[in-house]
Amino acid sequence: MFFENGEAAITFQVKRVFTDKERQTFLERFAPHKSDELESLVVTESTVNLLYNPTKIMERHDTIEPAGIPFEVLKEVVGDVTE
Amino acid sequence: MSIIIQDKGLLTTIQSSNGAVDSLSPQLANKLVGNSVDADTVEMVVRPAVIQFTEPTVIAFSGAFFKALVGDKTIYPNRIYIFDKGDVLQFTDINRGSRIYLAVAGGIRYEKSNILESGDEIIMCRNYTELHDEIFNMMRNNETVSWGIDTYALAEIYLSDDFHIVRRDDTPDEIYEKLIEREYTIVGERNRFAIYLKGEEIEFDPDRIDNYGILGGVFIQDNQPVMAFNDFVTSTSLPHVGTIPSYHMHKLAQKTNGSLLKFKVIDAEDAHVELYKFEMWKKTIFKAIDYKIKKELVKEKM
Repeated sequence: MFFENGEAAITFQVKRVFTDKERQTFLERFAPHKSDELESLVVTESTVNLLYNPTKIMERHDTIEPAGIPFEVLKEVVGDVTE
Repeated sequence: MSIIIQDKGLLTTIQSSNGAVDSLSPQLANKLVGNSVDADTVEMVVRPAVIQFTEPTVIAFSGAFFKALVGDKTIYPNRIYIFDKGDVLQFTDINRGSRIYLAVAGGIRYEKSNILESGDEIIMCRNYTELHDEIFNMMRNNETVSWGIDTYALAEIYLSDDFHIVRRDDTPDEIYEKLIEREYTIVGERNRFAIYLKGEEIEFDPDRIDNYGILGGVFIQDNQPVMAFNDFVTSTSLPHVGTIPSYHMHKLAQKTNGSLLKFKVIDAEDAHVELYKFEMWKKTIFKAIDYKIKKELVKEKM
């Protein structure tokens, strides 16, 4: 499942342990998106966490819902990984 | 020579803007001395260090409301001071809070470890800008200025006991109902790792393998909430019930044992609105500091 983990992170969590290949794929897919808006990707045993800067996204994209951009990127990062 | 730690106090470290447990105070102290707000500062906890200066040095400290002494002069938080060769800064009374952040004009760095021991030196970077030069000139005949960041301006940010927690969609409502029912008391802190609370018991054992140990994460351990600080584990099997937004973390960083704390459960959308309001408040304070410094500079030139 995806959920907003506080006001500056989106988390994807599954009920199993990711394989090493899956983890590597997540990091590779995130690399081109890394910026001062989408700051980092942290992968644990069964979570993928995209840390973003809501204030920068709000100001630069003129939006009051800054989670939309990181959420779309995280969906792309995890791809068709199943829970 | 640089800055010498005569006595390391309880725990004195050099922290980057991301590493500071209270992320607001280092920005305020840096702004006062003309640094980039993200410059490294000295973080001191509960019993601060005794610090000796070896050359004219412009400093400010912010965070916990400690008074300090240099010789027989009283030094206050949120003000600019210039110290001279041989001056020793020693903190005395504490009125509130637990962490102090000391900023040094021109920046600082460490040689081996960011954990400072008695006898260690802090290296002054001396990356002086035009603004630093002007501040030094401004303070040539005065050891301090007649203004600082007013305590009342920070009271609302630091003194309230209310803490927002951003809910998780998969956490049952009854967990949040228990969480907000009564106040919790801070019963312990493992420094820079977590704060431990005691209050209404929460029995929660969801079917999850691990959780991300996010900064501000609220986890359940022995039926009581635990709140994660900067050095918490990346991954934990403790159940996660929500996350404290960044705009309340500096307040949490200054709470001490016995402090009361009341949760308010909110959605991420509400947290974004509150965050934006906080950022606007911060910009106002920064602009006020810029204005005050410029005014002092004009006064000095007249």
